[in-house]
Amino acid sequence: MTVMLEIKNLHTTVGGREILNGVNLTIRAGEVHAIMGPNGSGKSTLSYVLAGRDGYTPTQGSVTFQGRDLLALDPAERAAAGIFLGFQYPVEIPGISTMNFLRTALNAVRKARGEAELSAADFLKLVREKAKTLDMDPEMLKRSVNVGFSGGEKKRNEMLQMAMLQPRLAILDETDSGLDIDALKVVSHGINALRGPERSLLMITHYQRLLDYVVPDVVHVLAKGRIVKTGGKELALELEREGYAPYVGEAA
Amino acid sequence: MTAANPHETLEQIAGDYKYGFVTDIESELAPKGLNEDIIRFISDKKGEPAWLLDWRLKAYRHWLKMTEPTWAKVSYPDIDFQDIHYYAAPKRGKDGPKSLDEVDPELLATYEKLGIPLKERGILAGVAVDAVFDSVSVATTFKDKLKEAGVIFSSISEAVKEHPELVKKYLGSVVPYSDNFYATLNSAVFTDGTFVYVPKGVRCPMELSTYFRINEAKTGQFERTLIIAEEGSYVSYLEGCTAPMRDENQLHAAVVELVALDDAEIKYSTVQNWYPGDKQGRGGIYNFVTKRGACRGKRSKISWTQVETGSAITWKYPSCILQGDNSVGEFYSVAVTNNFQQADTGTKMIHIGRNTRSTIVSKGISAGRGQNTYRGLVRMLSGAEGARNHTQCDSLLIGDACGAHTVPYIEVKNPTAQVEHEATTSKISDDQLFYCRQRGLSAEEAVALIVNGFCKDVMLHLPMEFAVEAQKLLGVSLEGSVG
Amino acid sequence: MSAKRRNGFQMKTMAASTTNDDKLAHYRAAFEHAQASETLWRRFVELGLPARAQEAWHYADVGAFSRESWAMAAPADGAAVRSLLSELALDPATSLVLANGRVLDDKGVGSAAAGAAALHAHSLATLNEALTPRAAVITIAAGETKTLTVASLTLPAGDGEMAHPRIAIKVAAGARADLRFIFAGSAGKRYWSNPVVDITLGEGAEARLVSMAREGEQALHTGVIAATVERRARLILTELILGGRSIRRETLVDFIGEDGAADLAGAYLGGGETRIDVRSEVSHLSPRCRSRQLYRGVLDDKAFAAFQGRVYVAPHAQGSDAAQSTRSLLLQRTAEAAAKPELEIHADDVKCSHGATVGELDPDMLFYLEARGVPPAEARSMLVKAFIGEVLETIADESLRERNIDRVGRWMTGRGEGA
Repeated sequence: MTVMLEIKNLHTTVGGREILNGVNLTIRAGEVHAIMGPNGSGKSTLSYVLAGRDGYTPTQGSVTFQGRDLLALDPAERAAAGIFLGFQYPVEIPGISTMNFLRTALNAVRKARGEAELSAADFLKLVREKAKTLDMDPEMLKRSVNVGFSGGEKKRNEMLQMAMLQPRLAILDETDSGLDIDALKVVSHGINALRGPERSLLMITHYQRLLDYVVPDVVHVLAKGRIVKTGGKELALELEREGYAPYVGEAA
Repeated sequence: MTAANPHETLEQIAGDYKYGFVTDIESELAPKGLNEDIIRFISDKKGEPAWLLDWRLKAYRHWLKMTEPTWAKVSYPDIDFQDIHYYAAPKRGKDGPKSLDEVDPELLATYEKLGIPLKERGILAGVAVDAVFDSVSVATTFKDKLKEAGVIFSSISEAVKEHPELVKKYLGSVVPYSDNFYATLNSAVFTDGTFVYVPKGVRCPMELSTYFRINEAKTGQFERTLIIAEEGSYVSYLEGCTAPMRDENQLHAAVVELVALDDAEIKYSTVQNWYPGDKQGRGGIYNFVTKRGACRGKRSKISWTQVETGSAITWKYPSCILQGDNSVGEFYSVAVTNNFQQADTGTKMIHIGRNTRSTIVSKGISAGRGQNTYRGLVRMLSGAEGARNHTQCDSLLIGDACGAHTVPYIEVKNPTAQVEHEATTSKISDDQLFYCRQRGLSAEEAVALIVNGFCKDVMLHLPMEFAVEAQKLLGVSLEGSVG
Repeated sequence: MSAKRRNGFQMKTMAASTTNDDKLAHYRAAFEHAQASETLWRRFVELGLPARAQEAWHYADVGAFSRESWAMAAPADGAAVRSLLSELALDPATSLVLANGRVLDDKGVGSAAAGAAALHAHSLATLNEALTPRAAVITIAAGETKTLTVASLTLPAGDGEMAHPRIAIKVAAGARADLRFIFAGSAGKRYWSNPVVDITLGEGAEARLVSMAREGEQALHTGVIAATVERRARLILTELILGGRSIRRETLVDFIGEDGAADLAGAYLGGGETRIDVRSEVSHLSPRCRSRQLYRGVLDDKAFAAFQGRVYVAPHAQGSDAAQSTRSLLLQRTAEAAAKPELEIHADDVKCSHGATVGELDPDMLFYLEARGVPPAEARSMLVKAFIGEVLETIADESLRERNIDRVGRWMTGRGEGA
């Protein structure tokens, strides 16, 4: 299997405080990884560093994505290269309809990938089809991006965007938070539908609940800014049983 | 103290302005009128050094060239500045009283009657008081206890004598002598006021307060307050004001300057209950005041809380100059105008430093023929990176002959700064009134209750000792506004 | 309507602005040349030239009136008019065209006397009334509906010329007006256009106005729309400000009958060293009228914009319902914005509110768009269009709305933003 993402000795300081201090992680094509950890361990910071958010520039280390230096790219270039970040708290954007947003994003990504823009009809067909698999009311697509959406609707909207953009590596930050059991099943279905030998998934989660539905190949424990343990899916269950307490001490 | 039950409150406060009595005490008065000789007279009375007299004269000469501001939404007949005594003081021996025991019993009785006993025990046991009667400070309590902590709390006249280097350094450094018509007049003729100095790292062990009383007829009161909080210090200060009921208007033109250095915090609260005039709009105090605080230090904080129920006319804009990075300015205000009262009040928040923050909460209540204006300026200068302001301005109208006005100015020269302003105007709803009355409250009790709810966001910033008093005042001020 | 109602500021500052006769000399010459009445001259002098000390002109480019000297523009060159009309995609046959303040083809011309009371207290509207004795007059009879585009073009022969277009509109009881205004002129010339639109809405009438100001990049524009709204009439106005060196747009609404309504929306985009000054004054003089104001500004480069909005509720105008929202976006460090949303309320049974914000594009929104692959410039452009979109949505005509949204997009492109 080819390497999808390789993080080496990644250090990041946010607002003067070191949040990540030496993360090493390799994800191969087709793999599903889960990063678990207590609150404040640096999970969301890692996702922002990978997506290229302002103020989250690494102080040390490297990130290689499909052989390219990921850190040299701006957020949109990373998206075009195939990085997708599913936000824990998707922002509301008044005045831009979800439909218009999806279309602009999809065409921007296709253009950057050297593909032709989709015609209006093809786009509409595609978006309807994807929305249906996520149990989304097409009426919702006419509303402004995430404005007035419930927590579950926002997460479905994230999954719809992922389905449309067909990323190589999806980083899903606490995608299960705020979901009831039915929504969790729909969202998990969306994630599983994307799985394939050419794609990788990095799930960031505090609880193992989502991992019952999207079964990971590898589970990591992130504590105090570094990966302190790596194991198989059974590690998630162990964490659920025993909590993070042993790791919080270990990394200190 | 616990929050008052509205029934009790209203029984206690039934009646009109209850501080309207006159103290019969022999006074020493400067002749009426204003000229350089009067200023020399005041300076001489206080035994001031030459630099201070020069400063006063410089202000006076500048004032002669100035015109009274007309932009505020208040109207009043022209003030005859030559028809005012600029100095009035209770007669006493050559030296002032050395201790509270030596203070004229008539004065002690006056403050007792005002609910401000000048004794270091009883109801105000946790509060140090400087009592200013007309032009002079007559007593300051708890001076020794404060001295132990290193805090200087005295009249400004005394501070000029005992700490001239501090007064010279800071006087006029926040409100320059040339600042505006009334502040310049004050700089020329100020007679007394309070001086507070909190040294580095000291948390002032008690609330400090000044109680201003105008007694003599045909006088103006021009006091000057200066509070300096050194690095890492904290002080909470409160002022209260009352005056006798008289048919003619009296002028009160004060200046307050605050300086907060690195990590210092000054909390300044005002319960202003100057005589508001009668129901026909006769008499009352013209309250033309300049209050300004400089957050000079990093992470410093200045918080103004005011409850303005008195005065015929109120013209004041307690402001913050947010110079130090990460400094914080706050302004919480309740202003009530009933009968013919007029208030044009608000604040200025000048953001200079990075990440400076300001919050403005203004609650205006208009009743009778009262006119109530919020006027505020929020200015973000180009260096105010990441600065924030939030302003909430609410007006409540009681009756259809009053007015409520909101005039905010917002000026932004830095794109990373964020300013948010919200304002609403409404009346007490018939539904709310009916609901309260159905539960057994009289119309006035219901209004007092609803008004207190409307003002809650401001009242909770007052020191506990004064919150209840202020709450009562609101009820009294609005008596007769419904029904 | 007394001057007092308008905050009394004109009265108080009058003396200061009349003392300097030199500044008024060339206006006096223009009055004499136009054979304007002495009454108008006295009113103009009394109101005074706009000055910083007058609250209504606090943020205006007042130096332009007192320091520069202006001469009346001669009739415009026909070829230049045709060329600008074609550039604006306007058909002269179906549009009402004013060039340098003169109505072309003598379509509907009449007296210039101000109908709206608010104009009597306005110095530059008084100047307009004096210098342009003949106004374009549009009358819509009871029960009729009229759609019309009005173009006011300023095409001077040289720098320092002024034009005072005047348009008087009477929408009779129950009539409907659907009017579009375009204010444009020569690129590169320093001219002053001072148009006045004086509109009266009869009982139950409805007027939808869309106004676009895209003057030449050296131009000074000071335009007023004054609307007198009678019982149950409704005014819907959308303003778009796109071009000019210094541009002031004022909307004055007087509700003189019960149950009137006004929806005012305005969008202004400023780049370069443009100075924009938007002012509204909505006077609830009768019970139960409803007003809505929505203003959005985007400032780039060294542009400056001020919004001053005033809601006045007269004593006894019970049941007034007024809401106002103003927001500005600063795209550059060097851009500046000011806002003064003002309420003056003299009745108690009212619902009045305003909100104002100034800030930059939300970094969270920008990151979200970029994380989905939208390049930074395009993301900024999308967000600006969405921001302005709130205003443009008030345009009922879909094609006109879309064209204006495109204009905003092109404006961003012109600033090096967006594809």
